[in-house]
Amino acid sequence: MVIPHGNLTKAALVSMDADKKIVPVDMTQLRGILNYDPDEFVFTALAGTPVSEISKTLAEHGQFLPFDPPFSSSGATLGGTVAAGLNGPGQFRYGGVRDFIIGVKFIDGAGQKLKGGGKVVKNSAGFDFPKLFVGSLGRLGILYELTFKVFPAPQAYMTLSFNPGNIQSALDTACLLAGSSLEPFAIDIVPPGRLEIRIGGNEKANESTAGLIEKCAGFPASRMTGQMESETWDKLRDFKWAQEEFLIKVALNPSLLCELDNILEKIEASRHYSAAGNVAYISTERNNLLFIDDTLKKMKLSGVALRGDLEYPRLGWHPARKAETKIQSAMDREGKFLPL
Amino acid sequence: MKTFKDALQRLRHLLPGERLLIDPAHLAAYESDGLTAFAVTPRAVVIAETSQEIIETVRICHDTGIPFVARGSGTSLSGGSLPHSDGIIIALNRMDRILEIDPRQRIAVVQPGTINLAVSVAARSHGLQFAPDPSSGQVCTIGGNIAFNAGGAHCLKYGMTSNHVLGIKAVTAEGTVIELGNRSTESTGPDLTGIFCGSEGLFGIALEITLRLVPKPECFHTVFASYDSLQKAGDAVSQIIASRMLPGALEIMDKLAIEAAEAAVGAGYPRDSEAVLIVELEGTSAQVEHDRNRLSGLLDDSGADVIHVAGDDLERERIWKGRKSAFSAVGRLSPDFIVQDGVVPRRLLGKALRKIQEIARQHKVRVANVFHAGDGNLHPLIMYDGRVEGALEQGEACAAQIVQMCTDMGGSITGEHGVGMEKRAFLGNMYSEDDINLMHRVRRGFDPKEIANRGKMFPSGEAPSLSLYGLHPLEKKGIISRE
Repeated sequence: MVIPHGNLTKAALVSMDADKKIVPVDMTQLRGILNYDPDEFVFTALAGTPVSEISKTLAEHGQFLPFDPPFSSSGATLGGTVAAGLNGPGQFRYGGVRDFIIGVKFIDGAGQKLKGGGKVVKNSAGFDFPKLFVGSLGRLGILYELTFKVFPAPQAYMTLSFNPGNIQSALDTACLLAGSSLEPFAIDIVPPGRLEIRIGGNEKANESTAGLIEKCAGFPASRMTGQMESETWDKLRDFKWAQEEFLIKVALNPSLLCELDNILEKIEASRHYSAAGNVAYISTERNNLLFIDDTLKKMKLSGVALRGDLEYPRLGWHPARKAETKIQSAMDREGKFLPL
Repeated sequence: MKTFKDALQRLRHLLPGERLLIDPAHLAAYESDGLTAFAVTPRAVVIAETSQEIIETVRICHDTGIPFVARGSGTSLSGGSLPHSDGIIIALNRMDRILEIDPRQRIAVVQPGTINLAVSVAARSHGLQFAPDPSSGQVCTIGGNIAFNAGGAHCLKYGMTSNHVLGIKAVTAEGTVIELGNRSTESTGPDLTGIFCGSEGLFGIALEITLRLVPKPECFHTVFASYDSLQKAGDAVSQIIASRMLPGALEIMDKLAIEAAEAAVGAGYPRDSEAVLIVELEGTSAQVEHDRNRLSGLLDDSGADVIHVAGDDLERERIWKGRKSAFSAVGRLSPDFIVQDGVVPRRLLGKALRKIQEIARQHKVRVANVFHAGDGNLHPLIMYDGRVEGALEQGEACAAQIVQMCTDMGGSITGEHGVGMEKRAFLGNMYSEDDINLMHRVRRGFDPKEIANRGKMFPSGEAPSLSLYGLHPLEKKGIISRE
């Protein structure tokens, strides 16, 4: 069996068994941008290309990766970001990695080179394999070339910090702003009750939007711009706050956020919520894992461990497993990849 | 045909007579969809009212090996809901309930027969909308939007249908109920919702769909500019894109399309121009205010003859009405037409349009063009008179050459209509035999007997017996339009 990997920024997804039955395939040397045409809003790169390298190239043309890839400064690769299905806080504005991936080339268990999708921003021909690979955990094939749609980057950012004081108020304000036409780029909730809102656009427009956001929230905010502002989000994207052995992502929805937060508070797990309550990240020790797994199952939430030593990284409720198995058997007839 | 009799007998137990159609007069209404050149009579039509009826019907089909085609409003432009001559239609129009709108989470849970526009109407009071807006939005259904990954005029910024579907409860062609995705914009594990969208009905039938809603923009700024050449309009698009703006929509219409739209709805486009460009900015009023000044400068320098800014919502609606009705309006110029929706890299739009005119001349057909210029999505409308012998074939040959041109330029055979019946011969232009074999295997994982929408998408698909047909009745009335 094989497991492809990049710079191991999400090491829990890469099983390295002691008896070496699973062969790791290091993708980091397969790197480089093959084609980038700023006028088309499209680039193609090899899977082992660090996302930071891509962001840098795009920035030279005033463009960016709107899904805001995490672990960028720790060396995350494009292929790893797709396989892990990870989005950063900036996904709130335009969508996640699934909304920007448009083409994939991959190797299946028989060693065949295959492809899905295309190289133009709009395409509905054939099955959407590019999306299927988002979150595939390196278990459906080895991605080696990826094509993405990109967008023009906002000229400037501003962050507004609110401190409603408790999780419920922070969430209420988050939902209010998420449903407003003020178009925030990021809406993150930091327990016990802080709210970080990132806006982007022309500097003057940001000033005026910031005023409207404060009005909508009904709280005054502290405002941040410039380098300090961007560093705040860099740290978040790199999970600097998460100090424990395990880092777990949970696909959440705002209705369940407070309930989950109360439970996590009791076991003293550090956590952070992003995308207006659509995702939770939990940092915890091994002794809480079973309890968290069980909690997620009861709450019908699905999770995946990104960091920490685990035989199998997925936690919680996975109702689609039956369908996943069907797809995996169709795609990996030789059984060369780990079960999903 | 013992198996069909068996199936029919079981269906009779399942459904009251008025919802199991077998009378040829009733079946005639289901013979064709938006790809009006073809018609096939199904053996029967099941009009489902509950998810359980759909599940049971699919199980009967699976047991007996009878092919089925799920159908909403039958607006597919690629022949996606064309019946199979040995099979049944499962009509989903009555499965049209919006089960839930949650403004706090910004989601809607709907049944597959829900009309596209109905979702935005239901969400409107919360300041939300369902972003995908195909031109047939007043009639087409979410189930069909999902099956063919429908697009619309706002795809550059908002993406396609699949970008707005978070979760799907579906019955596979084997009769198994599966749940894909969830109520979150995030997920863990492979994105099965993503691959179900655009699978052209080959996996099964969606029963309940969780949609992502987005806030309606605070303000719009809609402009049209007319030009004496398509090239100038195309160059203006390149300038806008290069200026780091992200307009909600960028649309171009050519002379024939302008004339037809003007005759039909009087949108106010200058009739003597060779091209009209529609640009729509949207967002917060502060950002739009900033961008509109830049846009105005760009358009002033773009060689436009007339630049007109919509002064109010009514005017904005009129500009869009002209655009959205353009194709049905072109129907006035010709009794029949074929519409292609190939995609080319945006920078090659000008070249593609010149080539289309060349191809049209070669085949002695007239072609009007309306296209989503922001994402390189062409919509050449190839006119023919089905009553003239050989005219359809001539039109099809022209269409085939245009599709070929799109893939030669590195684009796609379809941007938003799907492959369906119409373009299945061209899937191999984009994918190798191995790629297509993989699609077959994935399909068989959910549909081992290949009964769900049999004959669609795959190049070697068994062809239903086709016969020539006229315009879609709804299209003749101007209720639906082709985009």
